[in-house]
Amino acid sequence: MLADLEERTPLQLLTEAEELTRPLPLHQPDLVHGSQLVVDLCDLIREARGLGY
Amino acid sequence: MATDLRPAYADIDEELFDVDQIPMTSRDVRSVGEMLFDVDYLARQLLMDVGGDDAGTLLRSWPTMVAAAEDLWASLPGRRPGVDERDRPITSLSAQAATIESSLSGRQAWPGQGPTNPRVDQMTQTLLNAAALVRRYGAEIPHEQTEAHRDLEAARTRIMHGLYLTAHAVNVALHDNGRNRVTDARESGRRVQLAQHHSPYAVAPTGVWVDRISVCENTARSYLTDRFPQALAGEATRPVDNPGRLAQALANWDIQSHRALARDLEPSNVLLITRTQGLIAGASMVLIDAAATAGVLEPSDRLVAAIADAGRSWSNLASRWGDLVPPAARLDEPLARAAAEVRAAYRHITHDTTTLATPEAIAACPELPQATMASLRAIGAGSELAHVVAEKADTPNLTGPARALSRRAHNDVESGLATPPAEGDVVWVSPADILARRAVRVPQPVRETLRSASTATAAAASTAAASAMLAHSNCPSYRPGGRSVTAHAQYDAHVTSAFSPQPGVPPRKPPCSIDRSAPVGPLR
Repeated sequence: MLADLEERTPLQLLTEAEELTRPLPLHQPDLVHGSQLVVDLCDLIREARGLGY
Repeated sequence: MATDLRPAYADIDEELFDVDQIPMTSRDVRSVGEMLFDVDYLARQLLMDVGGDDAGTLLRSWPTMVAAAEDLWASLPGRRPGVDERDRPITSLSAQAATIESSLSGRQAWPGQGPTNPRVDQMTQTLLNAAALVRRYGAEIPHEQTEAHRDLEAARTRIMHGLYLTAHAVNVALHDNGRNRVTDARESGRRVQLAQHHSPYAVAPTGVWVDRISVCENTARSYLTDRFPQALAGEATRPVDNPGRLAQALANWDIQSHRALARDLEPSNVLLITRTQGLIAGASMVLIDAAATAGVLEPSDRLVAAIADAGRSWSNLASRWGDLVPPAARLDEPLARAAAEVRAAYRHITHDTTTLATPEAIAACPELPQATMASLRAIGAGSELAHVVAEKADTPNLTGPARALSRRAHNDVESGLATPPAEGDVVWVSPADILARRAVRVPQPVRETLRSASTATAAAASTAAASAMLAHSNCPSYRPGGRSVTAHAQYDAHVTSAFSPQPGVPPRKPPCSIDRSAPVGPLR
């Protein structure tokens, strides 16, 4: 699993996380601020792209 | 009689009920839920791509989007008479947006008069379409029932979620615009007074707009706090009602993408085409996984790896075409509608209420065999589309926004993707062009990497196409004597009810002929 993570760039990991929120994982009760999570992930993806990650 | 070889009415009539004969329609056939999901998708894309040059167009589009959202909100059934606390946030947002609109009207100072933002305009149109749909059929919704009530709550939450993401995108663009102004001023030796609140870059003339949009953003956020996931849990889904929907959507997508590419080159259209091809690859992998679980398709690591590689290549190419899209670029409307329908049709199969469905759940979906075959054909046809797109990279005099191209050129040279210039460090785009936000000719490194990314995409798409076509022809459920007799039986029953002119009468063609791929193959 960790080896898997090391093979991917930060941008790939962020994009995968964003894709997971497309249908928000609502069955997870800890993710109560789903909308905020989407905003944060999109912000991070944009910034990562800008930094060339 | 026997010598009369002219077709009888019954022969022609059969065509009408043959599921191979895909009726083409330009209507928006999405449900309200799918339209709202698409607003979410478009808002995310906007937020991921937004930059300082978009600030003016976004500001001009924002009030219209809020008005459309309020229109949809008001159309939802079950509205209580008088002032309702639940409606207060959308009413506040509407009032705030109305004042922004009146400030913008006839304004000479920044942002002045000019184009609106195509992405926000697309969201606005989608919200208006959804409102029209609700007004037409909303009276049939039993809103007093718990299920319907929760579904309506979910719709309100989705509307507000779309507004929140968009307001945040406008704010990001304004900040970015301010930062560009500060950078430009410093480079030209001028002193700049940094702002004291929001961010140092909330400088004039964007600072005042940051204030105003921040209020809108906070209003939307306050509604959503602690509400979004719970409200969405009540969202209802439409039952499967058209097993050929994905095939229709992909066939229409094929037509519209080719039509768009046949016309004058618009980078915004190429961007949408490459992105949607990436989405088709991603969704196909989900379907293939489920199809392998259901025994519809033989499991194949090579197929999955090839499609994953093609998907990555399409996404990389999309990101490069994204650099060439000017801030106010328009999308071809039929193309945008076709892409939206492809997204909705895939989601209809791959998702349950709000989450990605498990492979087992997708495997139980009666439309899976047909959808998987349609998806494999689309992957198979992607190779030709990749070559058409690759040709566009050779178009002479390609232009794009100066700032994005400058950044891309330097990044490509630094990362070794483009050939470094013999003369050392080169300024690929003049600072004056960046400052004036001009469209400039694509610099040599960007053109070189665009071509190499196009070639790589064509190669990856060809490999994926070969694997997909092999899987398509080897599909056990489409071979005589294949193993999934149960799947056929279920499928027959479904097709009978959906397409047979008489209830209980089986379709007049065997299921193995259902996905002959006539609508897709020849068009590519």
